[in-house]
Amino acid sequence: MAADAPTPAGPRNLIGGTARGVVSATRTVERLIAFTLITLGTAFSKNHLARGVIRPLIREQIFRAGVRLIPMVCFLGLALGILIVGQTEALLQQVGANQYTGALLVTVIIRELAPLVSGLVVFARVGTASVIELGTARALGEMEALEALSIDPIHYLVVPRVIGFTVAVMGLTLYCILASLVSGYIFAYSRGLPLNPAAYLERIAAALSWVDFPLLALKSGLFGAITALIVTYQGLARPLRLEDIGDTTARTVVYCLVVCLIVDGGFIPLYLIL
Amino acid sequence: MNPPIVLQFDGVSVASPIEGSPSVAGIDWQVLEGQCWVIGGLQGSGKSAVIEAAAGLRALSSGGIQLFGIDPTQRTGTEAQSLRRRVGLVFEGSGRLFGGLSVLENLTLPLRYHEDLSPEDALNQILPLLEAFDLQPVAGLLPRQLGFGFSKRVALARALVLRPEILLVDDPLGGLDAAQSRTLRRLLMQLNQGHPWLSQRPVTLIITAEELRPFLNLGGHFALVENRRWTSIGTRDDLLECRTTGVLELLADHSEHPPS
Repeated sequence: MAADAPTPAGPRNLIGGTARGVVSATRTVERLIAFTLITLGTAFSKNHLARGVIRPLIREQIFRAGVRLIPMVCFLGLALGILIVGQTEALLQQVGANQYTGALLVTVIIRELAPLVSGLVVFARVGTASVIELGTARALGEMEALEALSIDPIHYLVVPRVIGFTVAVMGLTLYCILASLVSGYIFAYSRGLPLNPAAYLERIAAALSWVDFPLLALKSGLFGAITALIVTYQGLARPLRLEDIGDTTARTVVYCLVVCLIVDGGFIPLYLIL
Repeated sequence: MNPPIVLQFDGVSVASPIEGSPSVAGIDWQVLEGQCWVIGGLQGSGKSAVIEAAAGLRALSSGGIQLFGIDPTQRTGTEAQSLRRRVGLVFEGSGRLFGGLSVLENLTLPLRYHEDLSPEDALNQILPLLEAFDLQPVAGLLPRQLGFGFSKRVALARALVLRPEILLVDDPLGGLDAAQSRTLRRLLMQLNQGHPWLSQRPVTLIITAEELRPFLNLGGHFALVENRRWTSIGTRDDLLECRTTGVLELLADHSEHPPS
């Protein structure tokens, strides 16, 4: 009887639950790191193999995660530009601090929001679909079918997604930046702010340093690669039943958000140092 | 002189996906080049686990396997890949065809991947296989658009694309009607005797089945998986003389598959 009663939530249970959560998260991180290393090893060691099959798959992923999402990212970029550029420009005008416009844009949009928004759009639109797609293929035994044909599933399914998502997020980040800068300027101009395009671009250019370019490429590329690795890991790394796929997709959303935000935070010291 | 041993199990226990006892234990088995083995067992007996272990897809809990005299676990990279290419596997049911690819893409994928061929060159290479298996009418269809019999035939054709020396076929007749069953048995017999696709080289055939009667004229050698134990029975005559309950059950006449 007593065994059937619900366990009361006490400090001991809380500590136990937290400890189990930490152990489980640590194991997941360990497996994810191992999966990443295997993928990188495969990408380099099999770079010369089956190009006729792998390259079209990479192009397909770039189209799916990149080209097809350009309108959506541009729309979000336009909205970001209006919200941030328009509002801050007006505010800076009021306090007479227009000279900080460039620094603000570079910090908020170019360094932070554009890569993050592009990464999240790719994850939301293509990443979740990929978890379902790969999880279903795993559940239906297609991985074993690939192995039976001596086709490496990491090479055939993971590597094209990692390369495709990386290139896609990098490209989408540029579109997002351009769209937000254009819409921000148009919004500020429409409100009658005394700012000509040349001065606007000059302020942005002055606020940019050489380090912004490689770090922007690195950050957006990392968001794409991380999204692809988490998505493929969740879809492929362990046997799934069809009924597990919904839970796995929901868990992937959390992992992707957490890891991308941690990586984003990791760039702040780099910007401060460099 | 005896033909060479192409597959050898030494005291093998096949690991079960569920932790605990192995799927099948105590397998000591030798397969010679060109032989045709039929492994009988009821549903869930673990016969699929045995041929998946032979294909290198299932871990062993003990013992060792030799393929063509080589321990596959001692080979890595391209050596392991080329060893595995010598073994074809047809999965049970619809054969685990790739759902996102058409029949033609399913068939050309192994060639395109391993030999880096263009789709056109791969198609030219597999045309004789498409014709031999009468698959041209369904070449452009997706697996979900195929009937069950066609799915089985496509899965068999896909396993043959790389011209394997050993062909493992898991429950080929399961779910087929009498006519489809006859067609598939005829194809398997041709493969074991020498098929034009394999340049008339007889393929070593290992089949699992829930009923042994349809294979009496095809299988030269028989084995049984019962209660997670492996028993090598021997030739057709040894099988027919065997009076254990397991064998009698697998030989029961269900009349759907008269001996070919």
